[in-house]
Amino acid sequence: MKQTKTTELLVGVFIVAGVAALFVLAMKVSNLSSFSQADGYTLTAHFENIGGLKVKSPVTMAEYDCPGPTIG
Amino acid sequence: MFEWIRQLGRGGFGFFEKLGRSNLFLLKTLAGIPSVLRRPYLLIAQLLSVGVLSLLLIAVSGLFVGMVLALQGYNTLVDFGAEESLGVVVALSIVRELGPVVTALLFAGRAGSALTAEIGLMKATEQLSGMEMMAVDPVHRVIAPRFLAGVLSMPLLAAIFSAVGIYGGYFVGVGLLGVDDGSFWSQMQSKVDLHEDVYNGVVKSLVFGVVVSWIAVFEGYDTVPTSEGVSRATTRTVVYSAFAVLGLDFVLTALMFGDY
Amino acid sequence: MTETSTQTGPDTLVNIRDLRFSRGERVIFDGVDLDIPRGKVTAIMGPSGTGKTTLLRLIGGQLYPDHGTIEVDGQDVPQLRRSALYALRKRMGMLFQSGALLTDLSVFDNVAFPLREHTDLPEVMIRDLVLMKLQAVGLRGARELQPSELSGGMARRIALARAIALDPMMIMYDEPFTGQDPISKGALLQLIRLLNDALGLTSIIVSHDVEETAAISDYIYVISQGKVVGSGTPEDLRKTDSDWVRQFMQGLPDGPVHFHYPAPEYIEDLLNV
Repeated sequence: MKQTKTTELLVGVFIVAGVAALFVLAMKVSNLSSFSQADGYTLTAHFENIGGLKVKSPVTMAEYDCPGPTIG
Repeated sequence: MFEWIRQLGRGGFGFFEKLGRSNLFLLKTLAGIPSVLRRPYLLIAQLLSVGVLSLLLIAVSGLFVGMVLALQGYNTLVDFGAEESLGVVVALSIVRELGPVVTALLFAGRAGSALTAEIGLMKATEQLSGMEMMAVDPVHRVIAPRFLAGVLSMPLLAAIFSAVGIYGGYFVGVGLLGVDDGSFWSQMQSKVDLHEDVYNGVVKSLVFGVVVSWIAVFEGYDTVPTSEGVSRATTRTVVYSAFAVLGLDFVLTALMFGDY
Repeated sequence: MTETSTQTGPDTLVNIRDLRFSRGERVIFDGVDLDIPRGKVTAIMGPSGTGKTTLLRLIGGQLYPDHGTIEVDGQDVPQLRRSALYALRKRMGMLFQSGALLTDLSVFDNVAFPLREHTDLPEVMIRDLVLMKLQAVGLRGARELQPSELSGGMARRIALARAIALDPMMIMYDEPFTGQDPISKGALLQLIRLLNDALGLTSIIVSHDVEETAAISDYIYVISQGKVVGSGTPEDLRKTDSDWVRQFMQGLPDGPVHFHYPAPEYIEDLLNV
């Protein structure tokens, strides 16, 4: 029937917002970003005592966090 | 004495009758979806009234839920010295549960009841009957667009709720409570799995979308066509939707996140 | 059954034979025979609650009879499959008591609705057709209004314009004069008769407004208690010797339809409290 431009515009904005939110969830929130670790490498090391470390624990070095290293 | 049993029986029959009617109705509605896609302007108008107009409610609610979650989460985690994991708590709670469920409940209350009232009123003023007599199927023209709009809007709204909620948690956790920025996001990113959590959350919100939209349009279509009937129908929409969403949430969670 | 001068034949548009219909325990029709002649205005009258609206719904296929046949233009309506029923409905127009306009559309869009749904005509043509239909009911200037801005009488006339949008073969009017002021009533009366003759329609009016309806009808059926109790031209019915019909046509408060609702003896009722 009467399709106002405003209606179409608002619905378009709504859909874009929703899809953008899904992207945020995928990119910023989930581990999708850690799949693309092009600038990283796998370290294999033997430890005699791993204290309280569990699989997938984040590991930090001295003063800064590495977003990458996880125990696997 | 036997009257009581007879009443129970009648109620039981009524329940099954309604269940049957609602399922047949769902099939009719689904059959009407192709004709909606042929006339997108119907769908777009409904997306506006169902989705866009719920946006403010969902976004604001998401924001506050995220912020409260950060506060409560911090209070508990700090006792274990684990406040750096706040991002994980906020994200997982929202993406897995609060996002889909709270959005569905809010949606049922705002959009669902509005749909029921609108359709019920159309029935009461004989507009649906009039359409039938003009050889236009009201299920195809009135119900199906609204149903489809509900199903499509729900996952989008839930995603917006989740995203806004997490940023709300970030604002409180990192901005106000002093959790470390880097660890907030990095711990979250390592713990939130795209398939396990985000994807399942979207599936949940789709399922809720179907159920809530179905209940809303059916109750409207099935009302007693008086003003009292319509008001009772809108109440039923909200109540049944709440039961259905929470019940399904348990089932889905067990299926998705349980160890089996 | 009293005087039923049936006019069966190829000139009959609607043929109803031995119609029986009950809603729950209530018997609404108990063996009704009706013939609606083509090109004429036929009125179906009776006291409130005799199921006159139900009759229209039965003719339109929205309800199914328990027994009997309903033939419209040679087709047995209750037996029709959905697509055939919908095809038949496009040739029937119906005017509901409230008008039943779609509240989210303007007057123009309401009248254009059947054209847009059922034809592929270009918008330019649709515009012309809508304006012509609105002109016929005298409301061309109201085309941009919303249904909520219309008075009851105007809404009904718009609904009438919508009912003739597809140039149907018949129109059914459900209590068109109820609750109308004299001017609207007069306008509607004239319109119904005019449109019927000008467009070669067959009109069925369901009403209990005896004076008005009798003034424009060619033939009248009086239904009471589920049966046809009288039929004939308005003249015939005025001279009837049936008590039922006379009570109805003249508006007598008591007669075969009793004034008092069934109750125990008056004196006993008073003294027993």
